[in-house]
Amino acid sequence: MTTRARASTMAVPAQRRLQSWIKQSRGYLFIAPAVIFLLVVMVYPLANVFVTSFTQIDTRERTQEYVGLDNYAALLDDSTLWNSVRNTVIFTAASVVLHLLIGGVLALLLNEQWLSAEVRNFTRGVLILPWLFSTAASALIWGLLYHPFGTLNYLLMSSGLASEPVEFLGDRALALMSLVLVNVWKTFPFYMVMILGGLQSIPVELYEVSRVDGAGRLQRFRHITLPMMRPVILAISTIDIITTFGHFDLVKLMTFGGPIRSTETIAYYVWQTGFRDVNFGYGAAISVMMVVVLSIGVLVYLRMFTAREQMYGETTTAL
Amino acid sequence: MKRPVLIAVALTLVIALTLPAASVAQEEVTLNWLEWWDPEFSVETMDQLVAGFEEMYPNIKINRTAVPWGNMYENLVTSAQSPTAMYDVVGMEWIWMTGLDKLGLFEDLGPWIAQAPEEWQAQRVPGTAVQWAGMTEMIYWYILPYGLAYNIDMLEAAGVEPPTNWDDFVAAAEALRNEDAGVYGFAISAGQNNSAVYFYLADLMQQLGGHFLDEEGNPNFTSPEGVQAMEMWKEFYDAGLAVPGSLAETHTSTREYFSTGRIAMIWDGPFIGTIAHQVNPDMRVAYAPAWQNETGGYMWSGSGLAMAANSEHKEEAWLFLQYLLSPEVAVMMTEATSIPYGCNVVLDEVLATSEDPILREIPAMLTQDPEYNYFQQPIPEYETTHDTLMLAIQEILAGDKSAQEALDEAAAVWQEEIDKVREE
Repeated sequence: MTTRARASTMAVPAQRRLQSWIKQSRGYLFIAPAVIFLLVVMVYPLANVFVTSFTQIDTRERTQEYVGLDNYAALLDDSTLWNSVRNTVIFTAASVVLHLLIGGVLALLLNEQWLSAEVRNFTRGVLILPWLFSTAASALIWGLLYHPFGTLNYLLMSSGLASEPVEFLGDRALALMSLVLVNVWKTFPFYMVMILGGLQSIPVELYEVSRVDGAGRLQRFRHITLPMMRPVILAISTIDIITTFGHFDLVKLMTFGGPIRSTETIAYYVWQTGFRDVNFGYGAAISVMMVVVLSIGVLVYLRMFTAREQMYGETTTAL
Repeated sequence: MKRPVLIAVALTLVIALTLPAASVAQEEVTLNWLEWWDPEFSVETMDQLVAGFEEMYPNIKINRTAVPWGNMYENLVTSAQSPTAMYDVVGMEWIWMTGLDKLGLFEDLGPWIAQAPEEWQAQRVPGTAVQWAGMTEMIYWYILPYGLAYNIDMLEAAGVEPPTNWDDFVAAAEALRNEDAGVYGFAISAGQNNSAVYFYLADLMQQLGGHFLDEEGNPNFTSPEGVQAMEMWKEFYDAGLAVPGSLAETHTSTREYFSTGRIAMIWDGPFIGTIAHQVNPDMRVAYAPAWQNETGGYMWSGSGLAMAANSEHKEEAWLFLQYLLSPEVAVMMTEATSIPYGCNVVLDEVLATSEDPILREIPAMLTQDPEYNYFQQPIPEYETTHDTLMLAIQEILAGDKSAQEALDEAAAVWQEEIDKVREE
């Protein structure tokens, strides 16, 4: 065999290998932009926050000193942080329950066939309105409503339900729940629409068969609607927990965490510590703790739901 | 000093300022100025101010960015962290200085002042160059007392004389309260740290013969005068003399109450007249004559200007600062805004002869008991320290803690932060 022929026979496997590699890599190349995007906007910031949480930053000298677990040790003694954890848990739990309750009830009503399509569409359009407002606009509207000289107090006092103005945002017993109410008002339409979508995807035949079998309205709701809606409820409540747990806007816009820290949430405390007090290391440690607590909470929640589904012999497809 | 002399001084300064400009700004330079004064002083006044400078220095253009006061600090933090200056000249409050100093925002203005024309330096009111960390980081543009302003018509209608001490003030608040009409004499903005700490605690305790900080700069608000001041406010609050909702009230909303006639009296700076007139041009606003309780001391503050250390046009920025801090501008702005600007000519001439119902009271506030005047100065970790004290004030008003207990706790935090800086 000549040298040229030997080279030619060697080139064939190399070419095949290259073609094979390109064929195998094509999929990776297609997803590469998305992966790079995720690395840049998610993985890098998260990793950076994690690294920062072990440091103390001197912003004037622009130096970063490794302090080990000092920032995490400081978390344990920080009563302000634990107060904000408590407020966040209450804010999140109350918001999620009310979102599901109000969104669910309204979705069930809008799903009723005895209402004409025109009435249902019109009502749905009106109910979605709060969702269209920005958080700043919502805060402004509710700030005026809650005001000692505002509409709510006018109604309460003129109807004799209150003898003096109710301090919705100035009384620490009411302030947090007043914020919950604004949050619920602002975002319940999203949950209502999602639940309505889920309700409309339940096969009508199931209800017809159950009616033939003599099931009443309550039984149909309990044995058909609820089990069929479980994946949707699981998905939206998980989304709600995650978004509400990191809530910041309304606190910053309406109460600044007061009065007497009664509305201070973890996200607001992170902002105070990291951005306002320029203590990035400690702020990052609180953020990491927040992610860990939230992740554990969501995992426990999902596990509880999944276990319940397994008990009923159903599968979760929504997540 | 008569008007022609004033003009001569101004012209001399204009020439003095113009000559060094020959060496700079041959090419067109744009300076970015971040400030919050447009709504307070009116856009026209600020435009006029900038136009005056651009006329003097045609090669330097001013790109003015006006943001609400409440958003200034975040903007300044962002700018300080930028490798190149987002803003060359910035409006500055003493309350932001320690935080921004940590970010290296400030150019040391000391050397710039030292090389400024002597006539210009001689016009600056002593103490208006504010130092922190061994540098001159801000120069007060205007200085002002915080005192009791009132709506002349509302007090006249109620037959109430402007209060000149605490007892008169309480009596006036009682006489002016009409809960059915939603009208009160006063509102306490205890939901905002600056107003809670200084308008209600510091000002009154200085009037009671105390000192907010001791001679070494340590917190002294746990003194009997500080405790007494808070007990007096607690009594006032419990008597329902303030608009409901004090614990969540910001000073911005308190100003809205005043401007719309919901309250007749407000503790504020001299600019309250301008703010109220933007809502109600016909409102007649005056400062109550200088108060005398145990003392006649007042709390003094002001707002200033600073230069960014990362500015690429420092010489031009300094020219702009010199212009803003010139007697010519001080006289113009004092007349336009009813706030005393920090030039001697303003104190010696403009205020002394003013018929403005707010400005005319200021000289007495400044001179009646100087030993008990408190000039605000940078406090380490402003937000942490002042939030702690605001929290203490809220706890006192809510009845959670006694005045002594709450103030003691807050003082411990202040002392800790002050000691940290001293150790550094």
